[in-house]
Amino acid sequence: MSDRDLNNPPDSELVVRAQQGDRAAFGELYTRYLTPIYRYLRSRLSDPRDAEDLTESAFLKAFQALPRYRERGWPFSAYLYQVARNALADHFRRQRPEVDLDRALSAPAPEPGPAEYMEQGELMVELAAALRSLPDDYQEVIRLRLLLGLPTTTAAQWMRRSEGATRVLLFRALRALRKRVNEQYDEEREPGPA
Amino acid sequence: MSNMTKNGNQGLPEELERRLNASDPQAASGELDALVELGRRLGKDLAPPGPSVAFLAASPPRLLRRMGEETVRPRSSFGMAFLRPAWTLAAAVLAMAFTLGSAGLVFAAGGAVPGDGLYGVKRGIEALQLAVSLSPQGDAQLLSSFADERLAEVLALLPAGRGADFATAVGEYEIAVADLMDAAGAETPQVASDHLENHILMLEAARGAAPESALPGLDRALENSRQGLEELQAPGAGPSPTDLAPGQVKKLRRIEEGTPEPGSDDPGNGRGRSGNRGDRGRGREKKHGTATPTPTPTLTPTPTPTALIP
Repeated sequence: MSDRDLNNPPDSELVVRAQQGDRAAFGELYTRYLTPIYRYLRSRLSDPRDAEDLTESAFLKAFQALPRYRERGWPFSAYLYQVARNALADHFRRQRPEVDLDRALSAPAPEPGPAEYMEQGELMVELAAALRSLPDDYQEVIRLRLLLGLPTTTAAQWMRRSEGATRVLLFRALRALRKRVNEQYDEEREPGPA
Repeated sequence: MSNMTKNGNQGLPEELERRLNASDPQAASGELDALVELGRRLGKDLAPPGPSVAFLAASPPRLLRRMGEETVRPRSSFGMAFLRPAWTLAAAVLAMAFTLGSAGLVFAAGGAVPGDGLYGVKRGIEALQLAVSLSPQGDAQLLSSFADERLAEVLALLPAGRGADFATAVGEYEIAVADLMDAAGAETPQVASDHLENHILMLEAARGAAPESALPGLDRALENSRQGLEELQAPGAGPSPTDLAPGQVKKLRRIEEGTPEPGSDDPGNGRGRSGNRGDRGRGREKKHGTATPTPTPTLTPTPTPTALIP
């Protein structure tokens, strides 16, 4: 995002204008946060069309809830993130549980290619599977900080934690993930039953 | 294992943060380095892609249309409003709906278009919304969203090959625009202009992909929107004070001119437009399944957008 955007109206001002019926103001908020919200949802969904649908639904729900919106200590982007998470929960609830678990968080399927690429793809799938096996808050901090590349400040606001607590959570999450990856590696090396 | 680890991991999260943010990866050794390497690999291998160009192009007008079906309504001060006869009527109708088990029917009617069996239910709900509106401003906002809904119906019927229903939808849209114009005094002309500008954009976009048989109807709707916009934007234009309810000015004008209402042979028959008793109102997008409640919104000073976008 450019320096010009830094000088644009802050989110709080756009929100107030949107609450007064200025749809262009909400359009500006949409433009600002479309990509991070989409990428967050895409990190949870293997089908890009689902991510697109849920992105629009999340923004629409946020728009519908604007009259009830009040300043209570978290940025508008954190609110959008909560709406997106709820939309995701509704999406999973509408589907069969076994499908949810398989589809949630899965990485985009690797294209067929050379053997090395296939191996790389398998490693990605294994890493994604290990990530899925972690507790929810561990998964979430890894998604926000590392997969989406959000700054700690933003990740902390979205998760409604302090920055220090978020750093500790990320450390623990990575440590747990490393342990899980090592366990998977050991299981694959173990000889099968005779 | 480093000294930090021996001291109960104190400072390790901060060191991890520093190392993850470092542009130049340092030589890997020990647990912390393994975690840094793992973190970098996650960011490289599992980072989700951004939205496609096609989505970025198609999404804004689509969201705009869906937003047009919704209306941001300021919170009303209820108080004595519950004692108004309109609320009594609404409560009675809702009670009847639940008693008859027809709530599902009401929800199902939300996406109905002219020609559908549930379209009358949808329009009836809209009429009820208008009946329980608490102010002229509320009426005007509702009529704005009803016009958006009529446009959505026109666009929904465009590829359906239902010529007669499409013609009806165009007629209903013209009436809705007329109502929107009449209500502009209460809602301010600017809001009505915004709606019509959006309509024109969407109709022009739809025209490019419309079947030839639908072009006359689309052009009619487009012309109607443009005329309305011109009227609203004309210098000195603005609705004149009137005691008539929104929509009645246009209707009266039609009667005086002897022009039949679209879709109706009897402009003054009191049955409402197009013979549809629930002639005003709109259907909202219906929720399906058990929706997770939207969280209580909060707001703090905004993070800079550049800080947010990776």
